[in-house]
Amino acid sequence: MTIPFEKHRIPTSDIGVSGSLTTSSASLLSVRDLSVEYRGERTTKAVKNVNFELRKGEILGIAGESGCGKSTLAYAITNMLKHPAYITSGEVLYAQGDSGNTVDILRLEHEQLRNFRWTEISMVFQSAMNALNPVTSLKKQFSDIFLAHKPGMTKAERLEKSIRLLEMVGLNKNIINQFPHELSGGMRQRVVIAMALCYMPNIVIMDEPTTALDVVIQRDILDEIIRLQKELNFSIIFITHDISLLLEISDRLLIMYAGEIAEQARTEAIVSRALHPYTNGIMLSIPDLYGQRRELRGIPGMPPDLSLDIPGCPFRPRCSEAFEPCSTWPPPKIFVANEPDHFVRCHKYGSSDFMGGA
Amino acid sequence: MESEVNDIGNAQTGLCATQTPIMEVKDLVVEFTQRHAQNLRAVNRASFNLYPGKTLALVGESGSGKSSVIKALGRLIKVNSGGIILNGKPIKGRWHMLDYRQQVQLVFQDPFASLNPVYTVYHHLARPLLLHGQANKSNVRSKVEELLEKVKLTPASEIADKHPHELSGGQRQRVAIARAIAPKPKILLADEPVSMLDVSIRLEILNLLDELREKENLAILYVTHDLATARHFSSSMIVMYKGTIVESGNTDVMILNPHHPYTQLLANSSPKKSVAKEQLVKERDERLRTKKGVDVKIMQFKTNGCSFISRCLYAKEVCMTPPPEFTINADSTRVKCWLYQDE
Ligand SMILES: Nc1ncnc2c1ncn2[C@@H]1O[C@H](COP(=O)(O)OP(=O)(O)OP(=O)(O)O)[C@@H](O)[C@H]1O
Ligand SMILES: Nc1ncnc2c1ncn2[C@@H]1O[C@H](COP(=O)(O)OP(=O)(O)OP(=O)(O)O)[C@@H](O)[C@H]1O
Ligand code: SF4
Ligand SMILES: [Mg+2]
Ligand SMILES: [Mg+2]
Repeated sequence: MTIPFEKHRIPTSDIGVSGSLTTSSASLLSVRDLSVEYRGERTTKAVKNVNFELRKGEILGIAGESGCGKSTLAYAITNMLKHPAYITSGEVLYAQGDSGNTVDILRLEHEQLRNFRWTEISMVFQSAMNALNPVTSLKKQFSDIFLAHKPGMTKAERLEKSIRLLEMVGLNKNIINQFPHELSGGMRQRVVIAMALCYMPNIVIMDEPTTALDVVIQRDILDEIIRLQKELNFSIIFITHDISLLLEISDRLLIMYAGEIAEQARTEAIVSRALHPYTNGIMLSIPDLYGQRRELRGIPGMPPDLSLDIPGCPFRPRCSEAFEPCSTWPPPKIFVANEPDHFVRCHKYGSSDFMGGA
Repeated sequence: MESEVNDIGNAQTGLCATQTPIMEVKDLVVEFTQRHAQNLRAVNRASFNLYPGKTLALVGESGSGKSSVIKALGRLIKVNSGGIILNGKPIKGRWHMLDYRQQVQLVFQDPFASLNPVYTVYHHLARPLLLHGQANKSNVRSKVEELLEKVKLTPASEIADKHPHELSGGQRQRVAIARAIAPKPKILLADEPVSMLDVSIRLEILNLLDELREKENLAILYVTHDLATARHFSSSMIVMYKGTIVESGNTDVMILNPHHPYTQLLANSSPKKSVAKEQLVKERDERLRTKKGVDVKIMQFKTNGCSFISRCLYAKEVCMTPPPEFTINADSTRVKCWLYQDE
């Protein structure tokens, strides 16, 4: 291995906090040691000790296969999990305004949380466009959101604001009187995005916002999201299983596997030198529209059952590069020298100190 | 991966110069009746051929009529006019369905819906094997396991006894493929066979289909709205817009040099792994800049002209009149658009 690595393990609880807060790309959200499980006959550990930062004005992509815990993570960050899901560890620190105050979202009480969710962080849910009430006009649905949070607004103000939001996401204001079932999938998705922007939040979490749409509509919506993000300067956590979208739009990427972050890096670093065998596997799974036609491989096998205890590296059964330590020890988190944001969780890049250090 | 053979050569009929098609589709029309309006023409005079050992990709956006083509060729819905010629024989009226099914099989998008939850994998596969004489009572178990191995579902003896809910999405789709190839068909009609699967699993399934194509000399019609997989897994491609084929030809040639404004839009909208970020930003700004104009046009036009007119950046006066016949480009692709007509 010729890539220089700093083989050190950093205690998970103080990853990258102090450094980045003082720089220009200040951290807006800091997720620390977050773990979630679904309790039942068998407990599913859906999110395991996740740490990451979201910075002001950035698009952070989270990619990973179905069932790896992406949605659970999104719900956890916004403190929206319900039984049988339980947060078993961690905090989600949000830097409020310019005051320098941070709040732990996981500790907010009911009413605080409700306000917080629309005004500071909002979420576009997976398949939200299908969740719009089909028999209620858009006018009423927008109005209801405003009524719930700003009861002081007049009817005229609510209408005006709704129309402004529709126009903002590239829709014609005339559709305000229509019902969701009269709109195409792409239009409904725009409505959902408009709703998420009602109170101009600082963070918008988008869970698979374009997955059910075809390429042309998907492109339209992505363009729109990015235009809005540039204009309004909010931060986005963009979740999808389709990494090819994230390669184009995200600034940084988290690759999730089996409830953990397998690799984190600037998007360009993932493109130029992805390190984790899983990341490499995904990169090889994306057919390129241009360039050489070459042999494409998927990743054989399936992700592990998260209700079972996984000894060693969770990717091992599918990994073509696995060797002895992989089946025994959980791979350490290894930071890449000169790439402060880049880490990978894989034995290939250094042995863990469980083995007596390297 | 296939060689770069352009098998949509000959202009009007789309006949390949060197090979005999296994299926010829001529002027296929499919219409649906609507309660308060005139019939909806989901497929408008589509003509193309399928060749043994070749994959033809059919691409187009949602609602463009791709599934209607598949269902018509699979004889699941009524064809209003036009013909299907299978192995040189026109399929008329009540052509024996069992014979037809033996040669033409389908794979659908949803691996969850296409298998019956109460039956085991074994049951799903034994039935077509027996029905089409590919197995008898005494050897059916081993034939089922053989089939499972063909689609790389191992250990076959264990998988055979599972129920669909015990399988992952990718595994279910493999069962659906195994079922489709059980009768040893000549043609496989695959309607977005991977669009509901994870990106990492898609390639495995497409590679499997590609391998079967080669080994079994299957003709595959691969329906997708993903140009990138079309490029990697097909030799020829047709692009459909609102039921009408607007461009056809060699897949690579068409993707690298799209002629029809709609094909251009599709290519432009597709994710591009190897294009530099600055270039992508430039393209995005350009799209956002030109889009406003398109919105206005959507409001204005209602014509019997080109169906793409409301979204076309290059529409001109003549586009209000019915679209021309196909023009054959220098690269042998065929395009239906006034821009390519000599004045
Ligand atoms: N309500 C629940 N009860 C029990 N287990 C659950 C529940 N919801 C999710 N899980 C499990 O938690 C894990 C993570 O699920 P999650 O929905 O977060 O994945 P995801 O990455 O968003 O997947 P997808 O791409 O399919 O949306 C999965 O193994 C799933 O089976
Ligand atoms: N059974 C039906 N009855 C009435 N109209 C139908 C029927 N099936 C399809 N249509 C209509 O025919 C047109 C073509 O539909 P089709 O399903 O063939 O499109 P598609 O290209 O497969 O789209 P998608 O990508 O969404 O699957 C659409 O306008 C659709 O609404
Ligand atoms: S730790 Fe081992 S099994 Fe896991 S990804 Fe790295 S090489 Fe593969
Ligand atoms: Mg999800
Ligand atoms: Mg369809």
